[in-house]
This record gives sequence, C-alpha cells and structure tokens, in this order.
Amino acid sequence: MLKVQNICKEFCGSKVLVGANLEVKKGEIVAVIGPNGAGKTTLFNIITGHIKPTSGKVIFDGSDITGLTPDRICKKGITRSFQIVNIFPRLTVFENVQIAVFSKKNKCFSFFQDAKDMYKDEVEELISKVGLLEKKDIESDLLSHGDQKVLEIAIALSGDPKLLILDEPTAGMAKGETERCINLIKKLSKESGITILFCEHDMKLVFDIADTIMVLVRGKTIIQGSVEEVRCNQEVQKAYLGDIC
Amino acid sequence: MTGLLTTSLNLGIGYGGIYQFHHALFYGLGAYSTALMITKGNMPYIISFLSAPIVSALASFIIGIICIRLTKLYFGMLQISLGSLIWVVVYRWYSFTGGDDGIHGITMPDLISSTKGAYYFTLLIVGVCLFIIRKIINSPFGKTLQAIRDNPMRSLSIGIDINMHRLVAIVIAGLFGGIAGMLFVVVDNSVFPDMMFWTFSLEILIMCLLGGMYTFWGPFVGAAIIVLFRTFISGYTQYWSLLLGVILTLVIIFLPEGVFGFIVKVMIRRDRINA
Repeated sequence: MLKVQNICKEFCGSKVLVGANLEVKKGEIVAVIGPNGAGKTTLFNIITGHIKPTSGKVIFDGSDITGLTPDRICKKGITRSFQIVNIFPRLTVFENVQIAVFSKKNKCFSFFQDAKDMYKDEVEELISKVGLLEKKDIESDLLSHGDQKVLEIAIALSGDPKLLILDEPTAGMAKGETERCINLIKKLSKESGITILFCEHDMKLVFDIADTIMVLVRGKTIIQGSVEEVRCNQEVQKAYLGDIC
Repeated sequence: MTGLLTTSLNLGIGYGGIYQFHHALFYGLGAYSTALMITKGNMPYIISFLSAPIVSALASFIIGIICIRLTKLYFGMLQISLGSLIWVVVYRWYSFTGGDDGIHGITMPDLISSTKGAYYFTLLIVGVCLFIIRKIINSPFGKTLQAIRDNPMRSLSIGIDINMHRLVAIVIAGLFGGIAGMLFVVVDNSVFPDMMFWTFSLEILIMCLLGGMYTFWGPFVGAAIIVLFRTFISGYTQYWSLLLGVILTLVIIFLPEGVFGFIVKVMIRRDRINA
C-alpha cells in the first residue's frame, strides 16, 4: 500500500535521513522505532508532505506522491496525528472533529448552510469511538493532555483514511491513558480495518501491537521485519535495545 | 456604514487571522467606482451601485493572489504597498479621478437624495449585508476559516486548501468593503482620495481592536464608539485623537478581548453563576 524508497533528507548540510526504506501492507500495524534523533518524525513529515525529501520516492496505492502538499496527500487517504499536540484550541471537541468532516465531504466552500448541527451523528460517532463523547462541548484547550492526544486521533480519523499515521501517540501520557490509547489503536485496526503506521519510544507497546517493525538508526533503515526478527537482529540489539533481549 | 466596513474587515482579520492591513483601499475603490460610473459614465444608478462590490472584489482578488503567498506581517506590508500604489494613481490622475479634490456633488436618485432617504437606504443595505456576513461566519466555510486562523498547519493536514480559503475570505471582505464605500457616496455625495489612504485602514483596524475582534458585533460597536467620539469630543477639543489613544491603550491592557468581547465574557460568567 505504502512504499518509501531510499529517502534522503538534508537540512542545511546535516544529513537527517540517509536511506530510509519502509513498506506498509494493507491492514497491518507497522511501527517505526529508533533512538532519539533517528529521523522518525522527519520521515513521517516527508510521507505526509510537510517536508520535501532531498531524494527518494514515496509511493502510495501505486502512485507517486513525493512532494505533494499535505492537503492533497490527505485527500488521497493518508491522515496523521502529531507528536506534539496539534489541535484547534479555541474550538470545542465537537467542532474540532466537525471541521475535519467538512473537509472530507468537500463542504468547506459552502457559504450559507448553518454549520451548527451538520453531520451531527457522524461527528458524535467518531468522538464516541475515541471515548470523548461526554466532553464534546468543552473547548479543546481545556482538555487534559491525554485527552488532547486522543482528540488528535479522532481528527485524523474523520478524514476516513486508508492509512493512519500516528507520531508517538502516547507521548507524555499517564499510565492509564497509555493503556486506553493502546486499546484504541488495537480496536481501530481490528474493527475498522485501518492500516496504521506509528512510531513510539515505549518498547513494550511496540512489541505488543505491531505486526512488523522498522528500525531506523541515524537516518538509515537497518531492518524491517516481524517482531521476532527485529528482536533477534544483532545490529538492532547493538544499536538500540541494549540488553533487554 | 463604518460599522459594515469594520465588520467586513473583521471577517478577514478576526475570523480569518489574515493581516488585512489595507482594507480602506477596497472601501475607497467601491466609492470611486460608484462615483465615476455616475459622473463620467452616465450609467444608470443601479449599475453604478452594483459596480462597487464588483470592482472591490476584483481588486481584492488580484491583490490577494499577489499577497497570499506571504504570511502575517509580510502579507500586510505588501498589501499596504500595493494599495498605496493605487492611492497615488487616484491622487494624481486629476482629469479622471479629480485628484486630491476628489469628486463632489454627485447627484443621487430622488428616492434616496434626501437625508432621510439616504439614511433608510443605508440602514437597509447594512442590515442585509450584516445578515449575510453572519450567515457566512456560521457556515462550514466560516468555521473552516476560524480553524485555519487557529492552526493553519493542522488545517492543511486534514486536507484543507488554506490559501484558497484565505483568498476567498479576502475577496468577500473586499466585496463588502466596496458596498460600504458605495454607501458613503450615497450619504456624502462625494469621494476623496483620503478614503483609501493607509492611515484610514489603520483607523478601522483600531475600531476592530477596540470593539473586540473575536466577536461578531465587536467591530460594529468599536466603529460606533470611535465615530461618536469624533463627532462629540471634536466639538470641544481638536485633540480628540489624543484622548482616543489613551483610551485605546487602556482597553488593550485591561480588556484584551475588546469592549464587546468583555461584555460577552461577563455575560457568560454570570450565566454560569446563575446556572
């Protein structure tokens, strides 16, 4: 479904990515792991079009999407959440999700319809999916950090994506919140059949839910394989896992 | 009339987060196009009136396309420069625009030539326009615009073409600015180049700030305050703008949401206490 081929990216002379490769098959949960500064977020930003790569290709559903703008890529079926909370702080939870639904339905240039209750059922279903229904009329600014991260996922889901990219979905979450988030990701994959690509620092979480894992070290893909393969790969152990294995 | 002008500006700046620094330009262009159509073109009144929003919308579209690639302050600066260019043309082109004298004694159709007629005509048009603007703000388009204001990057990631939205918002703001300019001609029967000088743009920006940018009625209230101020205080002292400056400073420090924004906040708080 998604193929990333030999992506390189330089920022003012410093090479952040020097050959990242990734393959995501339909229905899978794929994790990208790597030490701090390995280039995980940069890789995601390149896939979603926020950054243009210096060289390499991103192919989605058979067509080359390298260097398209983020809004085009979103319309092709890839949506994402961000590592650092990135929502519409002044709008309520309901409105946050509603805007994304407007965008999906191409209703953004409708001038005279009253927006207030449009797509109410659809929006509420999305919100209840991530478990925020009783907080739907709260300004999203006032939510806890964990709830905001979950709201991110709801916004990303509203685009009805084929591929959902989550950049450290549990970063900064309390323990209970992390668990809730993991269950949510599992549920999405199982029930809605969404393909998910995510990156994460929490090893336990990665080994728990990922079908395949890609290891990125200093901008280079070392291996992509099943949990077992990755766990036992010597290079990975040396570079990253230390002595957990 | 000034209220309509500020409300239309607020569509861009308050709801769209666009630094529309030279809104007076579209006001002036609307006024001039109506005036010139009547005096030089001998066009029927209805066409002259309609030309105002069309010319202003067209101008804001062209200027918008040039400026839209820049963001924030840079957008505003470029808009001021381009606008000043047009202002100079109007100011110097004596044979066509009347230069710095402007155009005076424009005759109006009988029905609205009296003060009373002009008043009701203005009231009607302003009412209709405000209704439409309010409708637009509450539409999916308006909501999307506010989302772009709050977080352009996120908007892009959910598939919104933000530049296209901003451009449309500018054109709509320009269109209603043009209507306000047309109404000025109806009321005052004259036009002059100062209407589109950038200091006037600043003044309407101040009206928005004073009234409250994030509310619908705020800019309208702000415009009313300043116009009343000018009318009454300037009767006593020519330094009325000094007093205005002091008041504005106090408002910005103590009421960052503006006068009307503050009233709304107090009302919400009282509601909560009562509930």
